Amino acid sequence: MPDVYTAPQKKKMKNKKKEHNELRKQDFPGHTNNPLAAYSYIPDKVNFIAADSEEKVVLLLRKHPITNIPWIITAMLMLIAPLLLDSLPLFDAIPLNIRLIASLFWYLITSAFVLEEFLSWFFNVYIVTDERVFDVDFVNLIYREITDANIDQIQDVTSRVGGVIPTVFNYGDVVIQTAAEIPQIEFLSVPRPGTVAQVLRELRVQEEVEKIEGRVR
Amino acid sequence: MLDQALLVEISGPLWSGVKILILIALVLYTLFSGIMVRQVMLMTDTLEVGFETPIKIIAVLHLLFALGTFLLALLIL
Repeated sequence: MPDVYTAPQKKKMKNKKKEHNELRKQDFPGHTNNPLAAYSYIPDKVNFIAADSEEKVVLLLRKHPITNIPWIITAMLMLIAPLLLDSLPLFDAIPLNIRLIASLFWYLITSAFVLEEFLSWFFNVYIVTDERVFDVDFVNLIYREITDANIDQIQDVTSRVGGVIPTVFNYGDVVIQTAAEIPQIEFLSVPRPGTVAQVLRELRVQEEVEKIEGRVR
Repeated sequence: MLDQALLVEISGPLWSGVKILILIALVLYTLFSGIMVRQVMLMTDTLEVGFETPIKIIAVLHLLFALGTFLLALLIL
């Protein structure tokens, strides 16, 4: 005879998953709700366009903040450049109004540079959910690329930290080999690459258990 | 500096050419700032982490700064 009502059983299964498998905030370090954090483990307020309603964000990663230092130094030099150039006698021949507008224009370019670099850092994120891994890339002003692979399609995870500064600040790359259409997803310069690889390993184990128990979503 | 700048009369073909070039550059820049605001809207729709409002405000302020500079250039050049 066909089932007339199956909902409670489903609910039971979901609860069972929560009890046995789900990663908890205390399992790994780095839980934070700071929107500017480069490493957030189980952030509470993250939502993104490609997410399913039942998907839970486990990791939100960005490049380590230290990678922003080169453009910050460039921006500082750009800020003081008009003051330095103004002191040169060469620019005395230029009418004052043109100098004023040129200075403002320069500061506009500087602010656009800072804004673009910040936006690029802030929105180029790597997201790990309990079902998939995502690489969200904003390549330029009008081009967006979102790559994803299912956790159960991950074949190999490699974390690498190379160089003095990455070793000191504990950041590096996590390379994920997948059986998906895109064979490799790279998380570049992310903080705590070892922990990220560990979380991915844990999620893969969970997926395997879910498969065995027949609880695949 | 602004008072002095308002008093300067631009004469000669060189400075007139420079003035036109600056105005064209500022128009293009203002358009770019508008695209940047659109880009920020698109980005904040893609990813929501609770920092959307400050970013949108910064992008709009940048557009207003560009518009203000363009209007000032029209006024004093």
